[in-house]
Amino acid sequence: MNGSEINSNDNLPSAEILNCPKCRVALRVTGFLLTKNIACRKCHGIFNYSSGNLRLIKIFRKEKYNHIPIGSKGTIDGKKYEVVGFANYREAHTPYAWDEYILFSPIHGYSFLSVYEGHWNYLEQIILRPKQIVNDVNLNGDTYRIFNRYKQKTDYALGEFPWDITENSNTITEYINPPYIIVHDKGTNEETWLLGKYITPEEIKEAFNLQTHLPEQTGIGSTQLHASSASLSKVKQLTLYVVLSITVLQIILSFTAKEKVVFKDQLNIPANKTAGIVSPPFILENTLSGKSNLQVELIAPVHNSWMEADITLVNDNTGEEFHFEQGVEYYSGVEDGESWSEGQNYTDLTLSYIPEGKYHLNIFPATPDEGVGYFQLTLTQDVSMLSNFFIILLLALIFPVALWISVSSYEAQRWMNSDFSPYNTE
Amino acid sequence: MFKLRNYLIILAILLSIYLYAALTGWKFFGSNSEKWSPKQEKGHHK
Repeated sequence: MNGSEINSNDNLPSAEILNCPKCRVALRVTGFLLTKNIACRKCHGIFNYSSGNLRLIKIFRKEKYNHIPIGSKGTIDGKKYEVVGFANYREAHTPYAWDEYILFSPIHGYSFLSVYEGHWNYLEQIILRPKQIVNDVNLNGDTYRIFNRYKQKTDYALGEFPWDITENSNTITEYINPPYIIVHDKGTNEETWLLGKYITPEEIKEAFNLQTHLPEQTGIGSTQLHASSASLSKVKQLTLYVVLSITVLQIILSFTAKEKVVFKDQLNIPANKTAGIVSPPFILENTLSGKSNLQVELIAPVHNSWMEADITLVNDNTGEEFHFEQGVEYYSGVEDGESWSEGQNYTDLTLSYIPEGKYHLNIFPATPDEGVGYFQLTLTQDVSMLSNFFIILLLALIFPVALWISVSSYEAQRWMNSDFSPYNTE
Repeated sequence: MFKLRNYLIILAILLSIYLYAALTGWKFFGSNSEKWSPKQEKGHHK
């Protein structure tokens, strides 16, 4: 018989039936020679099973509810199992309790389903011993970080077990690499390594065809994956490519920008404050899109004063006007023995989306200071826009940064249940 | 839930906007009708 025959024929070997020596209820033995302990569902007695004989070793006083009934059959990872045992454990000297279901397959042996706060792990024994690296372990090149170490106490058991269920001296160590977990069960004379994987309640219900409700999930499971954690490494890589691409693109655009000075003149401020200045005409050259930006620089020799220019850029062909104001101010002095200065005599602004064509400027300068007699105006067509680069970069980074924060806070929450948290700096 | 495909679409849109702005001289958050008035900060120190 092989595994595929078991799967396809839906047959598992029939169990041996024994009577409980205490209450006479029928007890099933599915594991035969592998079975070490049997727990009675009626009298809650734990019996040592050996050569077909049962010897009472303990009675549990409290009964616990098992969501998957003993004898349920189901398929996990393509392996057909029968639920042969159920145990409720507690971390010694703490209130932390969890359930474990013992699954048996005559082909694949024993496997386990453990559930803590509604989070399930499916565990199988592994022969390969993971490599210990300080506190952590490595299996097949993957590092599993230590998550928990404790001694467990059995509070309740039902069904059959391939080990002494009343033995409470073993040290259990859990190592995680979500969604995987390695569990090391070390006793005085023997040790067992289990490799597990997070399994959703929906998968459990489907595997065992359960109609009942499974325990509600609370918190984050030790091996539960963030819904988008798989995307994070791809997003990190993608973000790097995007940042590099936009940077390279910006460098190319900076080098290819025409930066053509179309108007530069030193203009005198009219004595008559209401008088304006009309500039000579100038041309905004043809571009690929027919539009370009236009940088306007204003320099004025202000000192403890200001100078303002009310400027209208007029398209001589269409009559379209762009009206804006520019100004400079600069102040300096000495106060309480310390010199200070504020402002500057230079300013610039960039007009967007200006159509090509013939233009002139209507300028109305204003200053309260008679000493500021002139100003210099420079218009440059098609300048590189660094602010656009930073805005696009910022927008491109919002998504990955938000994802990174979400995954990081999720991980921090996961490790709150651990004594070995890397987030604990105390 | 975060979808990688959505992020790729967003990146493609952002890149398109960036290139369009570079071609047309569109400055993000720029204004063609800027206003100015003196702060007269000298007064603060007197």
